Amino acid sequence: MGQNKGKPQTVSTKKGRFRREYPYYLMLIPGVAFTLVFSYLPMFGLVMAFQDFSPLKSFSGSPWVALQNFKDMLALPTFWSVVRNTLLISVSKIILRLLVPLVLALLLNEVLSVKFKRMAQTVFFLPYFLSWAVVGGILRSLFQYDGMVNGMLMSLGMERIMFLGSNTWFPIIAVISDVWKDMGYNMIIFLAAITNVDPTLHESAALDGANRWNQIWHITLPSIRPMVVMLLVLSLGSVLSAGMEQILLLYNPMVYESADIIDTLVYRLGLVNHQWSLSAAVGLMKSVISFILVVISYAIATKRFDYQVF
Amino acid sequence: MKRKKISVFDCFNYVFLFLLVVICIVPILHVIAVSFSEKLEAVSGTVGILPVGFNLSAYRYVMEDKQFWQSLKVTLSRVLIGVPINILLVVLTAYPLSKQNSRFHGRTAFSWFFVFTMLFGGGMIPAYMVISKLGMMNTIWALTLPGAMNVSYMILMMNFFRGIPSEIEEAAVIDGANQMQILFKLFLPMSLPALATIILFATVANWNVWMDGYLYMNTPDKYPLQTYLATTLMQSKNNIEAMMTPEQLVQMAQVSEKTIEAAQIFLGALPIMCVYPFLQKYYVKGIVVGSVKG
Amino acid sequence: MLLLTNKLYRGGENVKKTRIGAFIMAAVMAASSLLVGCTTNQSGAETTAAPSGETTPSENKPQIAGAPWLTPFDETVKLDVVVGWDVDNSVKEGTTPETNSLVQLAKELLNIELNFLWMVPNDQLKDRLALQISSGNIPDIVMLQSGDFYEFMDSAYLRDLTDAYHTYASDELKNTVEGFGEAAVNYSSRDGRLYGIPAQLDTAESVAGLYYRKDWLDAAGLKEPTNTKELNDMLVELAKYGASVNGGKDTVGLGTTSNVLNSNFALSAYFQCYNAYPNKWIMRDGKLVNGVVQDEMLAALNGLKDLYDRGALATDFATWNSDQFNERVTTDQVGATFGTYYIPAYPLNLNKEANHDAEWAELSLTDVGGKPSMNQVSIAHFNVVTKDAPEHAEEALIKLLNLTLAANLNSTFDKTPFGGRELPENGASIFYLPVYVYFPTPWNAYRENIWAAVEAKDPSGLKSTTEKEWYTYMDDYLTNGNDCQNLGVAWGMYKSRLSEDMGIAMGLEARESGAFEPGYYYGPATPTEQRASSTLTDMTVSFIVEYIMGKKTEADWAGFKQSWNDMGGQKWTEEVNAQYQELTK
Repeated sequence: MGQNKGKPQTVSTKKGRFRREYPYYLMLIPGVAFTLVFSYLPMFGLVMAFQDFSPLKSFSGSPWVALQNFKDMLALPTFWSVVRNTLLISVSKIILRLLVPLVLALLLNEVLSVKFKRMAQTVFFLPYFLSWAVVGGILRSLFQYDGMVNGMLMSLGMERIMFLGSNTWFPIIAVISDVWKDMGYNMIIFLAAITNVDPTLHESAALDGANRWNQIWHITLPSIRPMVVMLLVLSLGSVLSAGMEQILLLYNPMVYESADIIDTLVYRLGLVNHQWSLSAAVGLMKSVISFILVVISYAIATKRFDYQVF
Repeated sequence: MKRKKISVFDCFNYVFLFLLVVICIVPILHVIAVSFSEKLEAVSGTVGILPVGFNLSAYRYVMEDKQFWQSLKVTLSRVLIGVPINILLVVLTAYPLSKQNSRFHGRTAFSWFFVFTMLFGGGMIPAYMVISKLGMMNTIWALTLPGAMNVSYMILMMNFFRGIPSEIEEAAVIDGANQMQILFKLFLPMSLPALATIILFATVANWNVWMDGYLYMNTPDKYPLQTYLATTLMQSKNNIEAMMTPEQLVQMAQVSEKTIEAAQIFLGALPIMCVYPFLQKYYVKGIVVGSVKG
Repeated sequence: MLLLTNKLYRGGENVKKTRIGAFIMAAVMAASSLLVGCTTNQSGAETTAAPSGETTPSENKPQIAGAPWLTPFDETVKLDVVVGWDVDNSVKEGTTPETNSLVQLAKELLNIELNFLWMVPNDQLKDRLALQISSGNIPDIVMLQSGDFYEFMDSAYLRDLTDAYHTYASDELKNTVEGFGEAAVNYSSRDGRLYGIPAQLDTAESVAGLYYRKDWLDAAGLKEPTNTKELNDMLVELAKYGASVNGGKDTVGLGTTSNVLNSNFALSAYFQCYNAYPNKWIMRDGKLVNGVVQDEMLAALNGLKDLYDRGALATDFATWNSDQFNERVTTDQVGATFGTYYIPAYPLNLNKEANHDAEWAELSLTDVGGKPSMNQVSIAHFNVVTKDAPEHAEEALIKLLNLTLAANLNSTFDKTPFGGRELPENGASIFYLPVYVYFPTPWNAYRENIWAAVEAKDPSGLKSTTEKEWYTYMDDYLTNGNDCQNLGVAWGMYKSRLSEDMGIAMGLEARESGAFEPGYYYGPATPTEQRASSTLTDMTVSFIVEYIMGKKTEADWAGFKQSWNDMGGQKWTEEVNAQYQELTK
């Protein structure tokens, strides 16, 4: 694992420990200060979830409603089906967003032509620069009923498919396009990690007669495993956010059943009147659940793999 | 460097990656093609990856737009100010936290202190109140400081630091180096791929964020580029359902919103796309070393 | 501009949140007060004392010099303001709200100084204003959308404008406020006191009709339909004929977008052909009811299902967005679509430009036995003074609104005092100001004047800039036909604004003849509405889509009505009726 197994220092005195460790505390001061001011200070806004908030009355004047916002949320008739959609889409995204870039990074690493490698690396990162508004337009022209993909299906003698209006196909397209758009991001992290692997390991393995596959399996993968576990744990933090901007741009009444996610539902609720408190309650619920998941996965990683994620 | 002969796997690999390259580049080509196309062709959706009815009117329109250049300036200063602060904070924080518990006893508590902020947030209103109480409203600091301590970059960096053997630090300590020197003279130079990665991410993030321009800036001349672009994109979307004045109609008849949009998207992403190849050599260098095999 | 969100979204229309979307929304919710026989220029807020200052009621030469509203303040009135704006390309380049020449005029002529706290695009105004208000710093004068307006009014955060309005409002301002009937004043008042100056839109602009390819209809040898059955047949035939002439591309009889309950490019108007009004408050037996649970819905749904089964609706009809719709209109793949008056100017003109042979005509919903919906009032926003504003802010607000009207190109004010600084090319824009009302287009007058000028081939008698421009387009198109200089614009402007049998003509005719279904209620969002209306709208849209696609049948209708009522619809209806009584008593 990426962690060093250095021998624990024998701590003679408290004073000695402080003398050794105080530079670390000093280095943390700026980061802690920024976090306190820009992250923790605004967290008083969480009280909104327990208020009937209106900007005019602000935090001090808005009435307290205890758990009413959470009850309202659970009382939404489609709430549970929306949670199911969210989980389905986001879990698929989380898995593929790790797997695909990982495979890509490994494959790229095997490419011998430096030119091709550079070019491919750059190009894989390009979709990341496009906004969803642009990608959405392109996806529509590809997958609409008389779009390019259906054109190909027809020329192969197959039936056309109503991709964007089908409850089966819509989530699939949402997941694949999302993975495609952002795959360059994680790929770069993996590439950087692979680059960091000590090249002498490969050399000695090659001398021992290990083929490429063996080297990947026994050297490359184990050395970037911490990175994979870390990204996985961190992405659990967004397990209840399935990509609002993307869904909002692509979905339509024909696929509410399969495509409506928590964030889009809240968005529509807010169209009549901005539902500050309901949004805050939903946000808080998402935070708490994510927090629990992260804690659990952190504990598993520590216990089972002896790897401290952060 | 010894070259292995091309195997079946290599062939498959090249073909596969090449197909992916095509899939990734076609949308960009499409955007560029639209930006150079005739308005009616763009609206009727007949433009593929080559311009139809080549013309430069969309670019002329964007180039003559003073606000575009003004916003570009804001974005550049935001990147030049924001990214260094960002990296400095991330590196300074990641280094101590990369130590083992036995060497830095408070590290796990601090890690959770930071990670907690990735999961919980107060929302738009309190953030606005804090920024405005600090007197940062309408300054470049409102754009650069709130997101400067990025926890995911920090964790990324921390994980790279962990990969550096602790013997190196111990040896340096014996030589009389202090922690700052160890970090900046030893650890950072050894983590160039990671550093390049977070510089790239931080630059892209600073370049692409647009919402904070609306929230914290008071006048359009302070908008960063993406905020300004979002404004014009939204405006052209508005027009679709507009009761338009004759002037607006005449203008739309001459330059379509779709081609201008495309030109702006392309021009807006161009500088940042150029950063990438520059940073790329830090990966490739390592990879070249790593790919020497028998 | 989200100023109208609240009440206007209440129409159930899920339109894009844009300023213009707002226009349409407002338009969609048409007015009915005219039915009641309210004539223009009747004095509003009747309960209050007569104005103390004198407003000279002069028809043709409203005066500037000496009019009480123009008297400058002795001491400068300084007001903190915020602005939502979008760049208008007809205004001198580089003009911003701060450098707007009308702001200078306000200072010079009225001694009012505007201090701009910030400016954002109209789209962002609602959010940024919420942030500003939350941090306790409320602008002195501001435009509020309906939801905020009622909350401010009920929390006593607004200053009473009654006296200032009666003393300082110019005749033109009074005319724009009260010109569409007393409903607007009622909705802006509490206990007979006026707390906001409503900015209203002309209700005739909201009437929808069916635009169809006349050239296809003629070539296919079809006649205009006279009932809903024939309407369906026509749409089916248009799809068939279209496919035979556009090279076999997918062709639809009726073009739609995913916002199925909208008036433009959607199905709302199809329901109106059957006298069904989903998500509109209509009067039945002296009570307000929501059209969505009336049994007329069923016949319309069956009609739509028939269209879908016969291929006149796209297989994926509810997935199109406006870009896709525009694409297909342009490339001859749409035979007909529902829309309000302006759609010939965009996007139908794209089709005309791409294919000169394309001809569009409009069919009134009454021709097939239906009635278009028109709202009681269309209030875009309320201009208000907040409680901590400086002294005389009420008077300043009214004077500023007077100024915006006087500066409007089409108003008949004597503009000499402005010295040309009211012109867009000299850097003036009403819509860059923190408060404004809309100047209602005098449709009938404009149309008559321009027709006369075209007849005589002499535009010299036309006064306003708008009239002169429209004349140019109409004259160009009528003289040169498809060879005219800028076909897309000229054709679009002519067909939408000046033609005798399409565009605004249909709305004006409906209003005049009374052949429309009034849409009621423009009050504060009721508690149930805030909680349940979005769910109810989703449910309605899903039911309609599934019915059309055959996943729901007549057997499900009773169940749908029941769950609509159970999930808050019943309670909402009661609340709306109670509020309506309150507001109109």
